[in-house]
Amino acid sequence: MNEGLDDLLTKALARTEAPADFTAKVMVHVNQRRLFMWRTWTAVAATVALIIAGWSGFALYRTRQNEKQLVFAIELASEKIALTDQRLKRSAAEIYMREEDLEKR
Amino acid sequence: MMRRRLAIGLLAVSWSVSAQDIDLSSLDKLASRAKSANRVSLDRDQVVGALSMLSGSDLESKKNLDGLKRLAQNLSGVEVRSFEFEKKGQYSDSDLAGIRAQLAKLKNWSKIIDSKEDGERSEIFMSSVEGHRGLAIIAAEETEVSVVILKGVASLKEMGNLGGIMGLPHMSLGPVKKNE
Repeated sequence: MNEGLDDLLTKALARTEAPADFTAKVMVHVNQRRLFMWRTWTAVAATVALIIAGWSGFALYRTRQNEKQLVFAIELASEKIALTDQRLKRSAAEIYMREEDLEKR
Repeated sequence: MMRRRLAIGLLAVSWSVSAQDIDLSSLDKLASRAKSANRVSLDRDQVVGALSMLSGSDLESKKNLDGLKRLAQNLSGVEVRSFEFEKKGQYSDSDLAGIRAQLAKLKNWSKIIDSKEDGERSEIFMSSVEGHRGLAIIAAEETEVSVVILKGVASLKEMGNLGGIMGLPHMSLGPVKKNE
C-alpha cells in the first residue's frame, strides 16, 4: 500500500523536461500580454487626451461666448444710458447728476 | 462657538439677500413674440473668465481696452434681457411691472432717472452702497425692450467713461462740477 503511494509520489514529483518550444511559447505569451497592455494604455491615454481636449475646447468656446455676452451687455447698457442722456439734454438745457445728490437719495 | 456660527449664518443670509438677484425670468415669455431676443446671465467667475479673453485686437486701442476692463473688473454679475419686436404693441408696460416692483423693493437701491418721451421710457436704478453696488436699466421703446443689470458698477460715470469705445457715443454722464 505504502509502496504504491511512494511510486505515485515519486512519479508525480519527478523532474520532467520542458517541451522544446516551451520558452518560445512563453515568450509569445509575454509579448502578446505586453502588446495588449500597451494597446490598452494607449487607448486610455488617447481617450483621456480626447476628453481633456474636448473639455478645453468647450471651456474656451464658453469663455468666448461669455466675452461676447459681456461686451454686448456693456454696449447695450451704455447705449441705453447715452439715449437717456440725450433725451434728458433735449428736455432740459442743463441737467447735472451729482454724485453727492445720488448718495443722498 | 455657537454665537460665531450663528453670526456666520446670518452673514451668509444677509449676503445672499444683499446679492440682490433680480429675477428677470418673467420677461422670458416675450421671447416667443420677439423678432430677436438676447439673454445674458454671467456670474462673477464668468465675468473674470471673459475679461481674460478681451484682447486689444477687438478694440480700437489699448486705452479703450483698459477702460472696458476697468469697468468690467468691478462687475460681479451681469443680467440682460433684450427683445426686439416686429411691430408696436407686442409687449405691454405691464410686462415690466414685476421687474420695477422688484427693484423698488430692494434696499439701498433707488430710481435715479425716469425719462419718458414719445412713448419711450428709460428708467435707471442705482445703488452706490458698498457691497450692494449696481446699476439697472429698463429701456422700453416702441418695438424694443431691454433690461440690463450690472452688479458692482458704482456710478453712471463709470459707464460714461466708455464713451467712444466700441462705437459708443461720447457721454457726459456722472457728477459735474457746479461751475461747469
